[in-house]
Amino acid sequence: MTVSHAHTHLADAVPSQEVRFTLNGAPQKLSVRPFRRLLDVLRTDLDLPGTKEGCGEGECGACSVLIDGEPINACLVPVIQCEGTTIVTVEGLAGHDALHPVQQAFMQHGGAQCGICTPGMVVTAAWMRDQKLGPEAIREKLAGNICRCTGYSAIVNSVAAALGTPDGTPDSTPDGAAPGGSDA
Amino acid sequence: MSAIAHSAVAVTRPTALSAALAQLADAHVRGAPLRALAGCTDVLVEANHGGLKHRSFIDLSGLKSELGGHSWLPDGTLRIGALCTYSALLADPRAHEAFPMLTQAAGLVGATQIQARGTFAGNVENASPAADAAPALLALDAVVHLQSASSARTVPLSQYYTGYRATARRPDELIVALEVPPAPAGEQFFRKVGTRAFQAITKVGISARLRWHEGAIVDARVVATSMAATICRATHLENALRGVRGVDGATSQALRRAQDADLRPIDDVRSQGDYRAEVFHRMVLQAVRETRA
Ligand SMILES: Cc1cc2nc3c(=O)[nH]c(=O)nc-3n(C[C@H](O)[C@H](O)[C@H](O)COP(=O)(O)OP(=O)(O)OC[C@H]3O[C@@H](n4cnc5c(N)ncnc54)[C@H](O)[C@@H]3O)c2cc1C
Ligand code: FES
Ligand code: FES
Repeated sequence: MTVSHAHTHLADAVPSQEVRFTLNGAPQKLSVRPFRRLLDVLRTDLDLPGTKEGCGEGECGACSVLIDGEPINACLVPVIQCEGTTIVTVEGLAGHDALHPVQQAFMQHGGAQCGICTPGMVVTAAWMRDQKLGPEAIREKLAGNICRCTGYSAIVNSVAAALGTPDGTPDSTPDGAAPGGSDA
Repeated sequence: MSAIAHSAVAVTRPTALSAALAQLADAHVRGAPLRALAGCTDVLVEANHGGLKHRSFIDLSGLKSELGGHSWLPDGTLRIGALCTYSALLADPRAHEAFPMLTQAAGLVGATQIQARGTFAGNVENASPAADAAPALLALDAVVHLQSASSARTVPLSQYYTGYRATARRPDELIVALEVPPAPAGEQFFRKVGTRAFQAITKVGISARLRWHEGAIVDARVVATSMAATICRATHLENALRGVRGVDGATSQALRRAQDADLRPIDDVRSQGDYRAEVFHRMVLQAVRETRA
């Protein structure tokens, strides 16, 4: 993990700047150092640890969030670039007591193991669903989301189930590759 | 620790191009040039690795209304704004029809998240010898529009690279747009070879345009990726391609000799020189076969 941002010398720090954006539906006004990574601001300042850090260099997608409707790696965004944008993190995909259809499908089809890649997978898959992309697009559009645990089949099955159901109910047919919990 | 911490980096965020150019001019005069931030997919990787040399940046994200998106000029020229992302161009069906080699290149940069953020101008200015979009633009005879507070000029991409990771841009200038003149779709060929289709830096790549007339190649542009210190045209090879009617043994050997006069790829962390040269040669032959009218 890349942690150069942790070596902060206070004497060197530049003044904070005001940045405003919409986060998970609510307006935010922050006073922050402009070059800090959105990933750190979300996890540290805003107490939203759902967005993960895998690589810190744009390779793994664990830090994916939606900025103005597109999946973006939050580890590559200086927070000042968020001015005026609309951001959705994994915490904001669904209402408090509900699950997003993609989250439901991941539960049902065993799409998560250690869970580090899962928020990024879910965010990117939710974007695919917004774009009305079909299951044939999964391997290409999810290529920027890396998983070290599952071997991908269970993830692809989860996303396929979520994409295959435009009405919002995930496909409940259990598929051979995944355990498929019935409690979802 | 010598690396510059993220909290020690200053960033200005102008909301008008004129203000941005004034800030660049001012910083240049003071001897402390500002470095631009576009999609940050190159700059933040440098920063997260602790490799930043700059402390002062100018963020272009407030200039989207002036520098964002792309447009089509009446003669079919594609104008790509400095903040146009890969995903924005890929969303336009006309771009796929008119410039298939450019959309193929764009669609193979990184993966979804990188394409949503990375810009063509950033790819050009970053000047990597392994870039994907810049070589396609070079093969298409693209030009770079540069602007400063006091001047505007246009530099052909073929004259833009002055050395390893060095460009013709002055520190007080911004790229404001790239322009790509119309080119027949049938003559365009793009291929990159990496360890996998996505999230793979190019080990060796080709961007070619081969124009055929009455069964023979009459004009050729061949740009090599990851074969030299910069992306570059292979001019001996281009000359050798003129007059070629198909691929036989003698033609293949002549093309390989011409290629070797242009390109002496090196061994590095990503690949080996011999492998690069052999794969490049095969891609040249493939380009001849696939563009044949
Ligand atoms: C995981 C990952 C995978 C990648 N895969 C690929 C790949 O497959 N192929 C490939 O070619 N690249 C790849 N890249 C590199 C990068 O995404 C591209 O080069 C991208 O196009 C850079 O654009 P940007 O807007 O993000 O540039 P930035 O990082 O914002 O800027 C890059 C450079 O250009 C300068 N600059 C930007 N805009 C301007 C302007 N308007 N005027 C003057 N200077 C400017 C900046 O100061 C900086 O020096 C990858 C990067 C990552 C992190
Ligand atoms: S942590 Fe951002 S892509 Fe890996
Ligand atoms: S579940 Fe562990 S990285 Fe994907």
